[in-house]
Amino acid sequence: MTKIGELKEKGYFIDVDWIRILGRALPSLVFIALRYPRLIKNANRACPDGPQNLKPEKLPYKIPKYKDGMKFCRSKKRYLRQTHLCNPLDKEIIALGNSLGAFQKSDWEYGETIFKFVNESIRVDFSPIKSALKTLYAGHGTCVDKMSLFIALCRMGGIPARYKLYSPEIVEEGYNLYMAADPLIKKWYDALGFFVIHGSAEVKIKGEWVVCDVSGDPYHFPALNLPFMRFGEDPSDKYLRAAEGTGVIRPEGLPFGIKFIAGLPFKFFGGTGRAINSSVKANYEKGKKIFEKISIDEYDRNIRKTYKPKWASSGKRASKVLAELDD
Amino acid sequence: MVGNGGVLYKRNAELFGRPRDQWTTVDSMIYGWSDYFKQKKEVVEKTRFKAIKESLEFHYDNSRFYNRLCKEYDFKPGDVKSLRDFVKVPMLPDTFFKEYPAEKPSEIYSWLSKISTVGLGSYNYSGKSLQGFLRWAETRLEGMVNHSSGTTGHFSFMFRDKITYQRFYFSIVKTLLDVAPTITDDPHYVYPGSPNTFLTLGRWLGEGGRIFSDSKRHFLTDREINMDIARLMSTGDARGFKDKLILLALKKAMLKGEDKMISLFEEINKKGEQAVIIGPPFQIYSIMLKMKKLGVRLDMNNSVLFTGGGWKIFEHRKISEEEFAKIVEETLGIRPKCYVDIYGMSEMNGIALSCEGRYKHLHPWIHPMVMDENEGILGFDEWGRFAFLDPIANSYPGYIITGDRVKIYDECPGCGRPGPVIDSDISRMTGAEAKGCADLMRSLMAEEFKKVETVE
Repeated sequence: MTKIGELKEKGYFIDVDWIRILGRALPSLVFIALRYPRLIKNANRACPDGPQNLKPEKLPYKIPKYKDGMKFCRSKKRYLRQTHLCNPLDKEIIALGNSLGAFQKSDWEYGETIFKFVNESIRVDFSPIKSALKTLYAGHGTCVDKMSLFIALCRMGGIPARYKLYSPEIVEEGYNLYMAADPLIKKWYDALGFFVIHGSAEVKIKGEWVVCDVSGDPYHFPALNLPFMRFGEDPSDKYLRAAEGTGVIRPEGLPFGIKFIAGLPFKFFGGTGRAINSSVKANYEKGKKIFEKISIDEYDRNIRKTYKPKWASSGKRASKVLAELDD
Repeated sequence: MVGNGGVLYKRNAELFGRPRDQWTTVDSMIYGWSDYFKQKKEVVEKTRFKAIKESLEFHYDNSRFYNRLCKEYDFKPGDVKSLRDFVKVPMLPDTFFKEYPAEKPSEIYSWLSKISTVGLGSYNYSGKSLQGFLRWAETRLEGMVNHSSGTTGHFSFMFRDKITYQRFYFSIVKTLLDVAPTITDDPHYVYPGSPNTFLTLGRWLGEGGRIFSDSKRHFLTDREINMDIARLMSTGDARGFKDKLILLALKKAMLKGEDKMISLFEEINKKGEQAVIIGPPFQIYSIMLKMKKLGVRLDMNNSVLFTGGGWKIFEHRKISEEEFAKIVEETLGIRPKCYVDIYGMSEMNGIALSCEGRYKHLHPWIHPMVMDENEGILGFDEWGRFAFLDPIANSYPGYIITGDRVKIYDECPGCGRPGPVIDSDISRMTGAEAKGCADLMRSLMAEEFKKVETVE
């Protein structure tokens, strides 16, 4: 295979599939920006006390030291090799994977362990895209960052893993937490009927691709009365699914330029990021308080008995019509 | 106008009546029916259906927003041919009323102009304060404006034009006056709260109290509860010394006001006069606790008591309406049949009154529905999200999905009268934000209640 062919296979170029996803979302944002310059101005100024990111004061884990002789998967095969922003051969990733049971546990058990680690230890926030290694050192990141770290740990342990990216529609509770937190993002979501992008990893175990959504930490869910995802559980029948009429892409890696493109909103809409982070942080604190009284597992067991996803549409449709009246 | 011909009924008609030649079907129910709760079921259903159809046509023809929303759903008022077709009506979640882009008068005006069915005229408010803007909007609408408790730090606003306001008040006042076995011409009107606010409960009760003579209207405090204070109370986020001082002063005024209320009740009782008392359960309960402590027992057997606005009193113990009614009789001497709990909400132009079986009987023009998580319609006897079609609303489409969890019966299991009636065990749906003016006021007194709860 030629070098270009390999890069293409790794998903390094923004291709038709990517354009299909971003092609609907970005023009709509530009339109909103042109139509409501004040909203953009306010978005940058908004929530001045809000956090830029949710970096923990102290990492809730120790990054183990790499030692010679530690096992790792050297394969250059598709879905096992290094891709953009996701290097399974970084020494810290190898050391962490080994400390979490790589090559000692079955693929499923190891997958479950690293899922739990990334899911619970890395705080989800709204911040510029980072590599897997940087996410590990920062202790926070977006769904894509958390996914990169998870995929790196999978590949290091010999489990093929890839990205699953789509424009998501979220249940009412998630909408209230992320979208309603800021007028710009809300307008954007209402106009599109979905958010730009979300990622859930997919890992291949015993020949089958299994969805793993590491994005939300468990502290996130109790204040929203949502169950949280387990290793191998697809969020699409719980709280997050690809919006109708939008595509799903499953690249091996992230494309070149993604960092730059995804970084733009943080340059222009700083206030929006702070507003979302404030909302997520408040929710996280509520969740922590709830878990002082009830264990994470007990909460999840209880909520699953009664939980039904609310893909309610009346609010979104009314907001959409109101947004169109503006135009 | 109908009514028992007493002074208060006449005053109600003077203040909130509408000329007969302008009556629509819903007006004929409000102003023409002598007893809202004793009509034949077939008559109620037929008239309500007609009233809602007229209302749908009105909003479809006059509201650009609602017209577009109907098109989004591919719906036309003509699609409603029978009661069953009400499920097709495009609805709005109650959270929609806080979707204004920013808390600035001009932004709220522009948002309101879009969602309102009636014209607001040009914007000429020159001030910056939101409280001042609400006053301006109220004058412009010749109606009433109120805001929610803002428990998430974000208020929702309800705007009633003159027609909605008149229909709403006339029906509520008449309903409450009808509860008293005999109402004298000049009873005392007691609201243990502040009427000087745009907060829903205080605003409603302050305005409704206008039918009573000035000298007989009594409030716990007349201290203004503006939006800043309301937000401070709802979030509990007292940042500086000034905020803490405001909350402290308000709490002190409320505690002092309770003593004033007890003295007032004693005086009314001594003179054998009649009182119409109305307030949130926690506030009445707080006064009754104080009376018990002071050993005050009254015999106000000709008076009536209404509660409404949320049943949260203690953190960890629920008080039933029956238990509450018993304490009312023990302390105030008001008979259980003269104590009525009211269920209502700021978006709905109608209320539900509890019967002796403690089930809530809805005003006949409200078409209630119960929905599941995905806005599918559930039948009677099932728990779900409360939604309703309200033909009184003239300034906004009153087809609302609320965050309340209810169960509705076709026939009252308590008194046997035809429904629809709502089970009194009303709570919030999971995921729905806490709501209610009463809870907002209660949060101020939370520590006092905690002490009592601990002792109990």
